[in-house]
Amino acid sequence: MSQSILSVGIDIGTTTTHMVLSRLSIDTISIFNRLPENSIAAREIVYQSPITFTPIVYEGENRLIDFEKISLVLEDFYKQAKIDKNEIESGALIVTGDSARTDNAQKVAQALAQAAGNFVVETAGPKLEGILAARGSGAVEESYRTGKTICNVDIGGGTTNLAFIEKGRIVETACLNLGGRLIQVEECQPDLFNAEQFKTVQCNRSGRMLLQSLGLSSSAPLSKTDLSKLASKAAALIAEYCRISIKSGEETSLLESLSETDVPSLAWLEKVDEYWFTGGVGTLMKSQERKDTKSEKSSAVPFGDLGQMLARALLDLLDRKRARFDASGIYATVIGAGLHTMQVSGSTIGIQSSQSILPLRNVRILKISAEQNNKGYLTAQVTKQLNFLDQLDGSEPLALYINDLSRDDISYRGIKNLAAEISNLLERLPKVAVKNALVIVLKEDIAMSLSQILKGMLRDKIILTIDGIDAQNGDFMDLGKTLGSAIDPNCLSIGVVIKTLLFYK
Amino acid sequence: MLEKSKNITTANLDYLTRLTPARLAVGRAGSRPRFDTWLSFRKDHALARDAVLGDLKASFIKEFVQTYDLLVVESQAGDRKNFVLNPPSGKRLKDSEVADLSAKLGQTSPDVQIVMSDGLSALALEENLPDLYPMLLDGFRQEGITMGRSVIALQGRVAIADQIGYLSGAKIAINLIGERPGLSTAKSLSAYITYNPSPSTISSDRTVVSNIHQEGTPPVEAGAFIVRTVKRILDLKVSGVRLQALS
Repeated sequence: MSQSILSVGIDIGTTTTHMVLSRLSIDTISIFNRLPENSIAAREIVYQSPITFTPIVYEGENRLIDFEKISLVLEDFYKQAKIDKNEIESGALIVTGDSARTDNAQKVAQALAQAAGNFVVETAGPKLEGILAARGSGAVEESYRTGKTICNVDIGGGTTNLAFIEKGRIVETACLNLGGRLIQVEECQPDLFNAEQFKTVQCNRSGRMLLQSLGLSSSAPLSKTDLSKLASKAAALIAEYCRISIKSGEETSLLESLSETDVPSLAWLEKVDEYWFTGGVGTLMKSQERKDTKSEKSSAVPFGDLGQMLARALLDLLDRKRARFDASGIYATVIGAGLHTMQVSGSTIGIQSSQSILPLRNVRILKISAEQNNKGYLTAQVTKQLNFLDQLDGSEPLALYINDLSRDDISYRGIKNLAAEISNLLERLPKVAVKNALVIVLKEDIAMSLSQILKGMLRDKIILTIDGIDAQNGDFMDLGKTLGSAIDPNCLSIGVVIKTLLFYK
Repeated sequence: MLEKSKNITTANLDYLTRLTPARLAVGRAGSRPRFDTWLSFRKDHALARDAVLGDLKASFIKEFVQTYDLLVVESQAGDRKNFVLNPPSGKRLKDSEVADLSAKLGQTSPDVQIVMSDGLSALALEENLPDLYPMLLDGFRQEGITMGRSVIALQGRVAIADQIGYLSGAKIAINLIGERPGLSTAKSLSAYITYNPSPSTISSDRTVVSNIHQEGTPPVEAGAFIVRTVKRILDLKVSGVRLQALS
């Protein structure tokens, strides 16, 4: 007996917006050596939207996502899919690249996620973009199956997001502020010799930096050669950033100032067996690689941006033996958002059905490192982090993600100690239990036992304990519905989405 | 999505071996196993044999009995050798013990009667009980589930708990028993749970929570899970295959 969940993924990118609807089948399986576990057994895409431009409007200095237009676009997708939004039970909406830099990004994301369905979460963040693209392209799965070290390179309109995957684990991410839409141009009056000329309609910060480094300016008309130089420069920088260039020697200072995150470390780059290219530019690279025509003339300036030229320039530069162009292409991130954001918790968790506090949205995750020989460590660490965050308005629920538990901690005494730490925390800082509720997240399979011990100690608090969750890469989590087991009602899991909400500055 | 590779490569094998503790892709040296493979096999086999043939340590019994005020009984098997050679003898108490145990337990008719048996791995009890047993005590107390005095049954098999549960008039008998060791672990424990236990209990009447050890379901977590399972069995008044049919 399996249970299926309709999940939506929406990606509002720099240039384009797309959506996928998928069906996730939750199955109860007996794994060697354990109690039955609930897990996602199959993921099937039931609808994939066409690629649509992200509507951007300008109000004076402000760059905004056109909320009404984008709402209509999404409504239209649902109509095409013939799906009632109320059926959607999971999923994520991510605002990526330059769209995450618009002045209303956060508000639009929140409103659209709410409108998209009850359990749809909004997300953003350069780290997450890379992670979702790598999961959506299948690079994570491939690395898990084959043991290869893969670098997924998702090149969109505004950003290039890297994710390094080792044996199926994403170990590092990086984000470079370069993409196909550094600059948007329009053809204008040809010059005296009747050659094509372009005037700049829009140019982002990275575009201006590159123009400057080439001695060009966005105020004067640009020739096709200028644009191609600009694309080549961007390609060289991207290839250098990923260390896949056949020639190297780009200025590191320029790379550093264009990098949103730290520049990826050489230690990881040197291990990469394969590079997978996804995103809008990745798709263009794939289609050009197939044709592999050297005819410069055919690659004009479609979409009024550098996408095509950048793809061409990158193909010329990179070490093709290690490059793969994945079929998911431009859809990688949205597939990641729709199919791979939900984690299913362990099947023995601490949740009382009478305490229906679910779903819980935007639970802030505090990462705690267990210290065996330091009584009161939990209170100390939480106090420190809350002071650092400088915000606890009593509305945002909190989750404590307990790391570094040793083998000795997975014992009766160890769990009693942990429960005592939690009880001490609630005594000293009662405000951490927002609306009397606190979430404890663990990797190790001890949630039900911790819950039992806590229940004996703290009767008036609602402590939700869940295990089998890796929350390392998130700042927030959403707890969705409970997923039951057909075998035993005591084997209950929760659908969890770990997310970040980092809208770029 | 990319097509999954169909050929077995070294990389694929690496993936497969990560899925299971079984001895996959261990290689060979000529027609023989490799030296390290052979040694690790011999080691694990020796551990399994020791678990089957070993008795519960006297020091462990003494400490556990003192801490938790337990009773100790023996099956008809008498000793380890006879237990292994003559398995049915482990299913019943020594005749001379029955009256005595009956008196000590009294007809208190508790909700739960716990029995701990060495079964095929005394090591499993020594490894897991210190974390599992107190979880059960706490959990049953919290849930208002009453317990009879718990019993350690030496040279015991699964069915001995049903006989002991019947003697105390318990609604539920639980046998925490060492599992038959394999080559990946010799320390695994199972909990067999029977509603309305009696000498005529059959296997399909028992609900089991198995693979309790540090690398499987940790004993503390299993403890909390057993408490919930017992609560459910008390509510539904049925265990074993018929319990599963109800879900």
